[in-house]
Amino acid sequence: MKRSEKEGLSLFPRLLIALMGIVVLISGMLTAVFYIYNKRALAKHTTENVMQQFETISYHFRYELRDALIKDLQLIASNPILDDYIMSTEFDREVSARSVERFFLESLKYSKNYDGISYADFTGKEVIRTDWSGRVKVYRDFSRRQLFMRLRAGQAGSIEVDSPVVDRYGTIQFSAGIHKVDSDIGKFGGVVIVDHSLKDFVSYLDRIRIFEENPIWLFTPEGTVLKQPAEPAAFFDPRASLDSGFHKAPLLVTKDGNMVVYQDLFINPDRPLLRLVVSLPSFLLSQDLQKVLRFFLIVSILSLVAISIIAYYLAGYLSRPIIELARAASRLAEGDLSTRVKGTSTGETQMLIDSFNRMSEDLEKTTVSKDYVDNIIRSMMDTLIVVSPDRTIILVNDAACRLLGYDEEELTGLPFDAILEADPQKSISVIDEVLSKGFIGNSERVYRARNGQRVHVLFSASVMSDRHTEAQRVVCVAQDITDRKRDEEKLKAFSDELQEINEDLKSFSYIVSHDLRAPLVNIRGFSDELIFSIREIGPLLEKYLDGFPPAERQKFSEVLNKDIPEALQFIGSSVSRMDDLINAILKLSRAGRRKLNPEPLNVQALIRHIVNSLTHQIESRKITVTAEGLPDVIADRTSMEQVFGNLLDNAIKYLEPGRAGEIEITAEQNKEEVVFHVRDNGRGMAAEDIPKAFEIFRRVGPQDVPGEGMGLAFVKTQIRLHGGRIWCMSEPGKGTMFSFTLPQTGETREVS
Amino acid sequence: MHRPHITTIVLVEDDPGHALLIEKSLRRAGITNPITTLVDGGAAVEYLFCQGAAGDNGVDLTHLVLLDLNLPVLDGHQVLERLKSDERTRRIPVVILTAADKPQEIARCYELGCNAYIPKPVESDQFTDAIWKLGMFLSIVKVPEVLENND
Repeated sequence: MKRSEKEGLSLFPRLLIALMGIVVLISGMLTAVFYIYNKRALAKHTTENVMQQFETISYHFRYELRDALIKDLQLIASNPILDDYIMSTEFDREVSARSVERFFLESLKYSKNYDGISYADFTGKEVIRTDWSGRVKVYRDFSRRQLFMRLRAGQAGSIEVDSPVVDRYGTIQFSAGIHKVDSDIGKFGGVVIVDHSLKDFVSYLDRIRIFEENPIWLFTPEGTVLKQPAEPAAFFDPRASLDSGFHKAPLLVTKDGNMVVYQDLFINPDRPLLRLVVSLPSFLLSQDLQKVLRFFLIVSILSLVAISIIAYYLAGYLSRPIIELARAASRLAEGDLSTRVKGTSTGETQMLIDSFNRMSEDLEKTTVSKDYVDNIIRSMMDTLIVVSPDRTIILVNDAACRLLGYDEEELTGLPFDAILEADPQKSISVIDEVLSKGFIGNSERVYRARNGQRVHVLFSASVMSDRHTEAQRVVCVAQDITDRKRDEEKLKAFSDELQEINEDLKSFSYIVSHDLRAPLVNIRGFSDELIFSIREIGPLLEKYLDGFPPAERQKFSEVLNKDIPEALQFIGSSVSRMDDLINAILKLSRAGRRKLNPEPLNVQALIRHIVNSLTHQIESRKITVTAEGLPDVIADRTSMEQVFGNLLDNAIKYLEPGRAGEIEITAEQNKEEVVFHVRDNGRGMAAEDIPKAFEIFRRVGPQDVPGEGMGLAFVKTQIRLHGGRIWCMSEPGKGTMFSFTLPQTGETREVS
Repeated sequence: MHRPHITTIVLVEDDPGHALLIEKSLRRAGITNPITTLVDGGAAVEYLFCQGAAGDNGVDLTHLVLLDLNLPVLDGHQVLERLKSDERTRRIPVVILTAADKPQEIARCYELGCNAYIPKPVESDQFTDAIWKLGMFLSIVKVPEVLENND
């Protein structure tokens, strides 16, 4: 099923947008902050700038214009030439006037700012006048001029100024006058009037640049425009913002974002000559700011581009592993368990990649394991049935279906009791038993197949807890033991039979030996009776023998005293022999049945003990017995005593006459067994006779030594019971060596 | 009235040879008591339970039983059991004289109530010797007396 649809944007564009967004946001914020900050700063700066300009202009006005003017006026007024004129009579008036004219012209030339200098007498009639064209003969009448009247009203040396006017030629000038005192009479004599051109001033003003513009207006106190900005760009009419008061210092007025700064310029402290206005339209104000903003915009755009590129790569770098992981995860979900994420990263991303790969690997392994486990369950030979606590079959494996002859669907859902035969001895069901105990191991039960057939099984069950749902299930494994049971029964039958045979054998040997003995008792007993009887009649007969001829007497005596006793002797010895044989048989059969008790034995000590018990024989026959380096073994003590005893006994018995007897017992061992050797230098036996020696009741060689021929048969049985083997090597005339092995582990066998 | 009690030795032995040898040996040991030989367990039981009838000659016969175990009809154990479980006969001393000498066997016989257990020697030459010793023993043994009805 496809579940790998992406919802929404991929990670990469999102990251990109996020990064860019952040950058833009931050730069925007910074810009806004900067803008606000700078606006104020700029405003302040602008204000300062403008104020500075005003200062400059004021200075300029004051020093270049005003002070110069005042000084000039004063100079001119105080020039004696003028005094001469005033004091001149009619005769030298003309001459004096000419002097004054010349003087005026000089001053004119000297000053350059003046358009004309004139002198008016106390009546207000202009009497001397010069301008750049020289002496002017058209005289003006000042009597009604405010300027004159004020001057006249003033004090000596007081200066008055007229408002500037613009004549039809566009020339801007103003008149300034000084009160001249007739020193003779000490009264008002006249006024010196200078026509001051404002051309230079205006030009000066024109040259000023504020924000690269010339937003400067110049007004007369009456409001006449003397100068205004030339470019329409700078045009903002400030007249609406101006008030009518006198402002000796610059006044700043803002209106609608436009800034107007204006100041009145004074020649005379109580009467403004000019109104200087700087009118800054808002756009001009913001020009600076805009420049800065523009700069910032460019910088922003550039950095945005740069950041975009960086962000692009950064987003890629960050998102790539995650996108890869996402893709890998969806591939994994679709079932491709071999999915792994390649590539490296750092930090948590690397951790994620590593974890993912590990997880994928584990999942693969688990699935492989799960498949593996499923495979096991499917292919196992034993039946597997999972039962719910309410005794319903939940899950079965193939083997279960096969054994019981059902299909998987048929079995699932059946009650377990339909399959498992109830145990009549138990009151609770096996399921309940397992749930309470936790498990049942290896109990023989019977399953019922579909066709009713009873199948013997070896049944084990355990509780399986589901961690998540806390449900408990019972897992039942049952092994078909029909064959085994059959074999078991067969084996039991055999075993029983064997047991019976064994018992029969036991009682047989017992009975045989006892039943064989009974007649022996009789034989022996009545032989003895015969002897008694003979002893009894002997003396009686002797009495009557005197009458018999000597030959017959001899015969009688012979028979009575020799033949009969001899016969009885043989009978007796035969009975003894039979007794011994029967004993030996009994002993052998009993020994074969005797239970062995293996224990660790110190063979060295055991040999010493046996040798001690045979001391008499050993010493009397001058035999040397050496036994050294014999290892400890695990065997039945009595058996070993008998074995060694027997072998030593034989060695002592079958010596070579004329040779000092030497018996040597040695041993060697390896990982599996210990080998003992009992060697003697006795008479030895031929190779073909060796097997006979081991036979019961058989002896080899001259029968000059007493013995029943039981020993070696007995020894062989004991060794075989211990799981060892015995053999013999011998050379007639040289000696014999009996060797036998005992296993190292000390295991013994039952031999019947 | 107090009549003399003569102990009869009842020998229950199926091998006639053994029986004869035993009798001869006992005699040689000095036993003079009457010896009655029975050859199977059934006859033994019958005899002992009916001794009243058998001993109708007026002489009270007290008995001592020498019992072999390996008997026909009823084996020694059965005889012993019957004798010892019956009130009339349980006081009769029973000496088991048999070839078996297994400890379980001995224990079993004593459990059934035998008074002595003597194994027959395995070696034939010791047989008569053992019987002779038995005779020595029996010559000094006292058996309980049968009480007359009017005693």
